[in-house]
Amino acid sequence: MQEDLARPRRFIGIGRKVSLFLVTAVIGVIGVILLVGYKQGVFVRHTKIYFHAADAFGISKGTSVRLFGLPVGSVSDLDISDRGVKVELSIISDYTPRVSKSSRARLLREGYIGAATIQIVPGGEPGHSLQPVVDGDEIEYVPARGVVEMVDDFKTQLTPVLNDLRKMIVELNQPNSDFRKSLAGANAVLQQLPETNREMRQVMRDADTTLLAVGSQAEGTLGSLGRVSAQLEQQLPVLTGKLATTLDTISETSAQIRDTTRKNGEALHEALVQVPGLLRDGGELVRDGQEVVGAARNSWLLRDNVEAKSMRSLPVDSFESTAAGGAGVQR
Amino acid sequence: MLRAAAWPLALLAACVAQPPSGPPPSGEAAAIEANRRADTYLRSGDLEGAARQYREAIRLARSVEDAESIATNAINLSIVYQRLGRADDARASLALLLERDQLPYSSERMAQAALRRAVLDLEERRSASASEWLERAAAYCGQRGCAVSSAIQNVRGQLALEAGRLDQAAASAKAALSSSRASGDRAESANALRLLGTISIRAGDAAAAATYLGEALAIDRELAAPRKIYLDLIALGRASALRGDRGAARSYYERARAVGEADRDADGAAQARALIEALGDNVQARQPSPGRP
Repeated sequence: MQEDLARPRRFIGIGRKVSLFLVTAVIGVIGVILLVGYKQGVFVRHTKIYFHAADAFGISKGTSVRLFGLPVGSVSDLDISDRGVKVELSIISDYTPRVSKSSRARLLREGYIGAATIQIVPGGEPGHSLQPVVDGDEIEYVPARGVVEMVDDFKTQLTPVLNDLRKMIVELNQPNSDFRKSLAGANAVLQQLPETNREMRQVMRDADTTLLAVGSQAEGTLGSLGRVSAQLEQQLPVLTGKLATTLDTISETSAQIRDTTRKNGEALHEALVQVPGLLRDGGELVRDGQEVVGAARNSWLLRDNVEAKSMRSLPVDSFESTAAGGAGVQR
Repeated sequence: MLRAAAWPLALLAACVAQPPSGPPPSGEAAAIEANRRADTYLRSGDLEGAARQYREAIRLARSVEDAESIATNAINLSIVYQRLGRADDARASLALLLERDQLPYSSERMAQAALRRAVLDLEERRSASASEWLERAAAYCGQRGCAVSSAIQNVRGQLALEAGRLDQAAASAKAALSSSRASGDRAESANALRLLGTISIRAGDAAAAATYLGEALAIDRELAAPRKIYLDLIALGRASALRGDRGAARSYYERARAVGEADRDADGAAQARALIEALGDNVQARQPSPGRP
């Protein structure tokens, strides 16, 4: 019976083997945890600083923080505060002497697809401290520069031009404007042209008659001029006819010019009437363009590379004084 | 095995998941827009337009009780008003911070506002009031100093110079120079050097004045600040006149006149012309006030 319950040979020392296996497993797990902790920088002293951003698009816990392109820490916490989003950075303490209190943080993405990183730009601008940061310090966050700002600047510069153009068009449209008066004067002159033409033809006919009379009278008294008179008598009717034809052509041309001018005037008037509408449409196009740019700016592809707008402070200067006539910018 | 690993993996995923981001603050957007428009107007030289936009920015910021925006735009507006020659309006814009304390403004902004008030009073030669506001600015700034510490020292030096206390003025200017160099504030370094040059002229040391003013001019030219360059050239002309070099003085005054005309500073150009004309009669030109010829 005792032989039936005897432990098989293969189970001899099984307890020791199982214990050894478990101890090895536990040591392995602890080793992995320590290795991961070491790689994650658990055993490195960190200094926590923070900044406030209007939003945290592109920023998340663990986002790498870089100084001169080298990783020096990561984003350790994000929290909503009264001033937007409070972003806490955990900086390896060995690097803090190179991060001054006046340093600024900015979100950077390496290309359109690369991971976002927070770049620390060391301070050094006038009016800021160069002391290194300590635990709990706040640094300034510089949002990326934006396309919308450029559009605003362009719009600011374009608006006076459009206003001037609109004024000019309104002035052209006024019934008493110089342009309208000039058109009316030209029209009146052209309308008088056929009458002038008729009078001129009458003058030429009178001259023809007079010359014929003079020619016949001079035939008897001025023998030497007889041939000349005869030639004149023969040629003048031809010349007069040609002149009459020319005057007829001029009359027709002037009528055509008058018609063309009237048509052009009407077309111009119609175009001028449409221009304010076109300008309004242009304004709407600009606004639509701004909306499109704004939407594009908020897209994941661009938002990290476009600077968000922030308030700008003028420098407080100890020698500030009543300005010169120009821009008066002191710095 | 996989089932056993699922729970740690799920826990790990939950830990590293990005928290939902909150909506961006929308109340400040309109105020920021107005502030940026004002900045554009200012850069194009339209001071009236800039003042109008800063007023709008203040109104929008007050509607959402954004203390930081109110302070920023009120200080900016006071600077624009001063450049327009509207000192009373400049004081009124600062009163938002200095006389109505319902909102919690930062000590940095309060120091800037008090300093601005001191600068306004100093320009109108209200020395007592300027001193009072300057001490308030220093109190807001605190013992550890702040971004406007150098500017406070420079204004203190100008006030001492106004009162004829040359030693005290020089001490303040040197403190400002040291502080501004430490913090990298080059504009205030140039201001301190200009003040030291003016003090040296007042003390009759033309050589030292020329050295200080030459350094100030070099910095102001790098900063491209026409008004400061004008002040440096006028002071250099006075230093040259002090040591009897009329030719050099005339040259500096001519340069100052050209800078004033290019900067559309009719008063400055006229003053430079007057100094040139006075050279023939009186080499020892009038002693300048600190930075305000």
